[in-house]
Amino acid sequence: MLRVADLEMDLIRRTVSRGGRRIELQPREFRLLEYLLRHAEQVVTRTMLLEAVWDFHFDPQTNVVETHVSRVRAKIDRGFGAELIQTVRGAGYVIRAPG
Amino acid sequence: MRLAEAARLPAAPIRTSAGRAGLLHAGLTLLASLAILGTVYVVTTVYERRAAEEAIATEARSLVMSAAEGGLAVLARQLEGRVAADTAGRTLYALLDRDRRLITGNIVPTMPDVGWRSFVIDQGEHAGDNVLGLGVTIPGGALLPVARPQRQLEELEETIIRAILIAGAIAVLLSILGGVLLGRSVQRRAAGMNDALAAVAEGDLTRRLPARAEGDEFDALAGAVNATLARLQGALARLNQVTGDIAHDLRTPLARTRQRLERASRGAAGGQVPRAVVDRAIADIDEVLGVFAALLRIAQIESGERRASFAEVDLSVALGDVADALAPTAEDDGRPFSIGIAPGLRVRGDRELVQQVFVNLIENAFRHTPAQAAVRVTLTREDGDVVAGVEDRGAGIPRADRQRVCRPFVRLDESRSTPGTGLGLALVQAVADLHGAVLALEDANPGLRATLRLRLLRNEPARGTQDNLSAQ
Repeated sequence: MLRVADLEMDLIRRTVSRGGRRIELQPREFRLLEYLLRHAEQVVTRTMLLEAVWDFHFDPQTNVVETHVSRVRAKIDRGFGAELIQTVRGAGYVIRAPG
Repeated sequence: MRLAEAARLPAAPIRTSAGRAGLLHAGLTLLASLAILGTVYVVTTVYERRAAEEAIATEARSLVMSAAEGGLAVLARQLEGRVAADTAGRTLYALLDRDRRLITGNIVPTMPDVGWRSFVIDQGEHAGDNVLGLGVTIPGGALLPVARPQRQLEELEETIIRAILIAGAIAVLLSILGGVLLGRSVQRRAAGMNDALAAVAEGDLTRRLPARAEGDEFDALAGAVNATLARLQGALARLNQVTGDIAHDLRTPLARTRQRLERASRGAAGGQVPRAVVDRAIADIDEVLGVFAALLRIAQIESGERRASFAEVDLSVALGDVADALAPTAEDDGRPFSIGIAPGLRVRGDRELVQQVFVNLIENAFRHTPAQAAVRVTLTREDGDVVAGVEDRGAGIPRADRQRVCRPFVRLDESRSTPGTGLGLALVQAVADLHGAVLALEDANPGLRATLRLRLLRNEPARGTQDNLSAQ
């Protein structure tokens, strides 16, 4: 079980919920969120995400990471007030409890 | 320079392989001629001698037989008749009584005895002749030497020896001539190659070795060297082209960035350069670094060293992952994006490179077509091949430009304004070459269809792969 603030990920049942409300994620989105949660409070770069989530060892021109992060963000943050996934300018992303 | 001089240095004939080949040729020809002529000589003289002995023995036998029938008197008359009939002096006789006194005959043999002997007649009209004689005993004790002059045999031997000397002389002359000609021809052709290679070494890559249509070993060698030179020339031309392109493509953004920073520095209030200018400069430099990274990657791929790490790749999974990763981007743009991938198609290769190729091809389709143009990614099996295809409904590439766009830094005018290094398809081409795959850009009517054709891996999938498939 991985947890940040009121976001919970059950690795065995492969479910995600925030504030007790169940959130449906695509497999790739689940892996992305899992990686962010495993490195909670740490800045995770685009390259790290490409390698860990997609096993891509090169840098596509397309904003693959941005697109997926924004989808995950839309599912876990929208309508919950505080944003958990934050963009670190020029570096990457970090998931952390607000405040 | 030094190479060219060394090549033209006159070498002693014996030191050159051509000279040695010529000498060897001459020597062997001479030996062969001598062997043939010597055999002819021996066989002929032996045969002739046998024939002479046979004739003498036959004659002697018949004379002994008539003596046995008619006695010495009859034999003596018979001999006289024969001597009188033989004007050429070819048959010589001497009939000697028991006390070795001459009864009749046309020779006086010295030391007459029974059996074969060669001797020289020292009296009479045949004095000085070298003869071969056979002495036989007549019943009653008389001795009959029958002889034949060996003049004929001697003449024959002389003739043969003369023939051998003449033929030998001709053989020697011809073999020396042949050797010299052979050596000359080899030397001339080697010199032609040397000259051409010396010119190449001095920098003239357009020079080619002389090759004739005959197609002997020299021509094959020259052909192979010429093919190498052609490849080298092409590679060097491409290298020059790319070097020029690199200089141009990197100089432009760097000069632009420098200008911008200079202007900002001059106009900076209180020594502070606005953050936006710095960010812009960083982005520009990142772009340049990106070009370098792409160039280095292409160079690394072209070196072929990654072939050592080739492994089995499930292309269906590899391409599927790429398409899935890029699908949301298409969706966000409102672009129709479809995927049709046949499962379980495996190839031998480098998964990472192959995936980057797919990313490049799909990104090209996204970047160079309007957002509403549909893009379709497919993977199909065609006989022994796997064909990966990325097809768009954009404007396509004019037929004349389809070859060109796969070269580094080639960007068509229509896409000058879109971001990109002009190295994407060059990388695709390099990866295709590394895999022995065929990259094709075709007309999709409308739009462009880019396909990569790889050799299918046929053997049974490993157990682990099967489990993975069934688990999915």
